[in-house]
Amino acid sequence: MSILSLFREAREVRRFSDRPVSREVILSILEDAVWAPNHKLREPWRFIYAEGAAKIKLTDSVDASKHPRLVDTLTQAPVVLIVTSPVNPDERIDSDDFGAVCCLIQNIQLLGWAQGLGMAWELADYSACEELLALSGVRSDERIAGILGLGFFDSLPEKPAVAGLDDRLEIW
Amino acid sequence: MSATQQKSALSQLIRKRRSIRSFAKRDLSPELIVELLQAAEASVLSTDQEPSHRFLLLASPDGKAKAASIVMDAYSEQGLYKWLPNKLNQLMADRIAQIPAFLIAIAKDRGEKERERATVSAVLQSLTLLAWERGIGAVWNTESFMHKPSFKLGVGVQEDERIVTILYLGYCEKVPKTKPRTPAEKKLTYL
Repeated sequence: MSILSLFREAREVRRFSDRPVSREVILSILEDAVWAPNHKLREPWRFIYAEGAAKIKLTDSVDASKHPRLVDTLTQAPVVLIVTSPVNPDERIDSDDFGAVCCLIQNIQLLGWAQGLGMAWELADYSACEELLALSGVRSDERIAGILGLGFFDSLPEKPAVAGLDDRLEIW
Repeated sequence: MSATQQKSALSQLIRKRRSIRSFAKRDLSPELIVELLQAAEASVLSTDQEPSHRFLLLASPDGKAKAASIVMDAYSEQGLYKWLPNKLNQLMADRIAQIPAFLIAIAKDRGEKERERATVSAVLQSLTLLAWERGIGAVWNTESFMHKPSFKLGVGVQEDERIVTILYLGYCEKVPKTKPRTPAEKKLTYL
């Protein structure tokens, strides 16, 4: 048996149930997720966890007209996890580290999905969201690789059609 | 497989996976890679109906030989092989022949560079896990030759595209020992 079906069925979740998510559940996912591939074992990730009042403060700090998706996720998800990657003057290190952090986020998504925890992954240019960055303590030598909304869900959202590979894969 | 089994199988895959740089002398079927890549693509949270990334898979002896000569041109452009070109050429060709398959991930720059790189990274991580389940190892390669104009031209990368990484793939011969990881708890701040 394979876990292929788990991967094929994974999907984004943006509407969550009231069922509380414990810190232990998230932490146990993270302890697995940190086994992501990364160059020279730099382990270039850092996590910022927000729920309850702290999460509401973050939500209120973002301009909904500029970042509607982000505000929706911050509002809906019971737990928000900001994952950062270091900014490095060496372009190759910078890019390798960012890639590693994205692999880790993919681990979080899959591990959550495997236990019925849905996720939305927000990522855009948040450099103008100064209040959000200040409140969450993202340093100037870090960039956000993802703002993750996590939670259990009541109804399974429909999975959007997956774009085919036919015209995107060349084989030599 | 039950939900509980899937959860623990996934956790084990993630924890046991290692980057693999030397591979068993065993061919890797392109059809299998394509099947796993399709499942990997389905697993990412992208609602983009027109993804901005694509792949070039080199898995046949001819395809790899062609790639070897392109890599040598790129090295030559970098000024990295002024001496003994023939010998180095042979070394490079041998090295490339030893790696069963290369998957070149290419992203189009549509002005959301990080979003695009994130999606490609997520796809490759899912692929790496699905491959590991079948005894196939992988390593990300980001050597500087991949950004050289002659290499990009050789493999057909357009002006507005960028190679994110070249994934080396093949059956594992031996799995390297693990080094401990920093617990996530030490890298976590509660607001």
